[in-house]
Amino acid sequence: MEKKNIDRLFQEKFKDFEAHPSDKVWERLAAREKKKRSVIIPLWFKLGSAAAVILLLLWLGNSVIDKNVSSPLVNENPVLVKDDKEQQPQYNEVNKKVVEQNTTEPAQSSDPEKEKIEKKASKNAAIAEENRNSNTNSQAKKPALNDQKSVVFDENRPKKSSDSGEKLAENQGKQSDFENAENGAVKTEKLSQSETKTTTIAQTESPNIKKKSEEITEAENALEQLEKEKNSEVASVEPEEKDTKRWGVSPRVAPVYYGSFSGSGIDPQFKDNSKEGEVNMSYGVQVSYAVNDRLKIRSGVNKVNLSYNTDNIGFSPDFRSRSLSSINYSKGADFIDVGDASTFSSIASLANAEIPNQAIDGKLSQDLGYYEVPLEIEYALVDKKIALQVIGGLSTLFLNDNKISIEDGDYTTPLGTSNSLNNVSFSTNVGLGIDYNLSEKLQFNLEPMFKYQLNSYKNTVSDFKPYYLGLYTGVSFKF
Amino acid sequence: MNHAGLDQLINDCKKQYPKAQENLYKRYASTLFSVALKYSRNYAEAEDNLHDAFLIIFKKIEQYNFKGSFEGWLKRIVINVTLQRYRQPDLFEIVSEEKLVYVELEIDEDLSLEFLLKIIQELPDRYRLVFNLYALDGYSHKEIATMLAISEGTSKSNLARARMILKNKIEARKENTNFSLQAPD
Repeated sequence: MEKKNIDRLFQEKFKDFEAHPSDKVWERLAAREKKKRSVIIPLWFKLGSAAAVILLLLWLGNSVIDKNVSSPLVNENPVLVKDDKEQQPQYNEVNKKVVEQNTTEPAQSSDPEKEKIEKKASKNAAIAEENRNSNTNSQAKKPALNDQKSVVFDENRPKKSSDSGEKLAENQGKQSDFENAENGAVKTEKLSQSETKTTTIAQTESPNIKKKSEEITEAENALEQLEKEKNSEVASVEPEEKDTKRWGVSPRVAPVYYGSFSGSGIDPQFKDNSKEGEVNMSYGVQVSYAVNDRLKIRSGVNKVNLSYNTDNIGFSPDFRSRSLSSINYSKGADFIDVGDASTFSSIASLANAEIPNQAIDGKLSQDLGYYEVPLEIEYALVDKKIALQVIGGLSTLFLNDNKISIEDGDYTTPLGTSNSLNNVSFSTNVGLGIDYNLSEKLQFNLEPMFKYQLNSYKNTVSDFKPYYLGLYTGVSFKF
Repeated sequence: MNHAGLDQLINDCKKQYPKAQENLYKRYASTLFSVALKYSRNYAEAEDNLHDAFLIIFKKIEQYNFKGSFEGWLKRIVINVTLQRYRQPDLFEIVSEEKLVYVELEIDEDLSLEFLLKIIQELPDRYRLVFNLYALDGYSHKEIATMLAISEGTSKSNLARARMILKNKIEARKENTNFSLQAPD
């Protein structure tokens, strides 16, 4: 038993005091951290892919529509092609003999003959070309095509069919021509000789045949290409669109709301403080150019003011401020000590409070002004009296106004300017446009837009992810 | 863990690596839990406060700049969490300022830690905070006044009342045990 100061008693007893919390505490923490982590998919990635998808759709949509637009003019082509197809069976029957003659040729596999065939093919091609180039009526075109086609069509046969093998066999040793007259003879001989020689010769000859048929398919390809060129020429002769009004100018005004997904634009210590975005105005002029009925490219200049408040800020006068590194304090404001209210009153003041000072709770307000130059694509989903568009693009933002101040109820005290803002930054924009056509020249626009800022802040501040929402309204004049 | 190892652990925690966070927790949980127990009303609330403190630690660790003791930094966060929770004035708060009394008492050395912890936890919130801050963690009345947003006088008065309550409880227990020793005859 001894007399003891009660403080000392407790100090001694608790000096080495350690206690283990139950596992539940860590389990809760781990679960929470895990959940938090699972949510983190970088926003720029989501937005970027969304923009990419939109652009892709626009591009696809546009190319499809281009085709539709030109199709009436190219209508002749499908007819031509169709004719060819219909007539192919005919060639088979009518020209079968010619065909057989031709197919047997390769079987001879002597070089001069190869050349002959090639010549013939190219001759046909030449004729076809001539015919088409000179021709205005399709009837004259057809025979030429037919000739060619028959050659092409049938030359391929030896590859697969076994009876062509037979024919090859029979024709061996025969001096062959291209003249149709000989076909009869060929045929009759075929019958008598077929059983004996077929298989062996067919096998030995096949490489040559293949070679030949390849050459001929090449000729065919060349022909097809010619045809296509022809078609595209026809397509390009398409008469010019009646020139609609492609240009548009519209003065625009929008209330814009400034918000952020995370972080703080002022100091990392405020990143968990709640932020209130404020609604400001943006106004400017937009110029647009219609690439076609559906697609517009547009640009312009907007003046944008943005501001937001960081809540739960503690501040107090102090002879030396714990100045926030991201603020360039204006004269007279540097005696104000600012901090996160939750840690401010305890930790912050402890360090330097010679005079007991009471922290005042307030808000930190940041005001920004930009000149915005957007470059956007507008794609019309509905193009009627009331038109609906999707809009995507980029903006370049030029900083021209920058202010940080403290608000406490009705009082506002300017602190200074932020030094962590980039003078030039970018935003990705997506939105919807609704147009109401008042007349051919005049339309009313309403566009809710979402603009996500990419690099408005330098890395010195914790990862602040600001965005702004605007409801743009305007009247556009077309000319 | 050596000094470099601790720095590495802190840096990994700044990168929010889950494994590093778990190691940090394992390393400091019991030390910090003892702080939480002294500043809280009971075991369950102490666990809650420890949990909340670690959430803040994981979030704010990127602000730790390796100046001053890391353990001290962690402890201050635990203390701050409890301050946030308990510093609202009690309804029955007595505003009058009392003179500081130097409280001495005769004590058995074998007073259990559990008992002492229990009577601290049973103190009214404000008294408990002031007693802990002043007597156990060495803050001055000036500092306590700022931390709790009260005057220095109130801090002193709260401390005096806390001491009286603790003394009475210890003495009451002693009498109880004396009584119980005498009782079985």
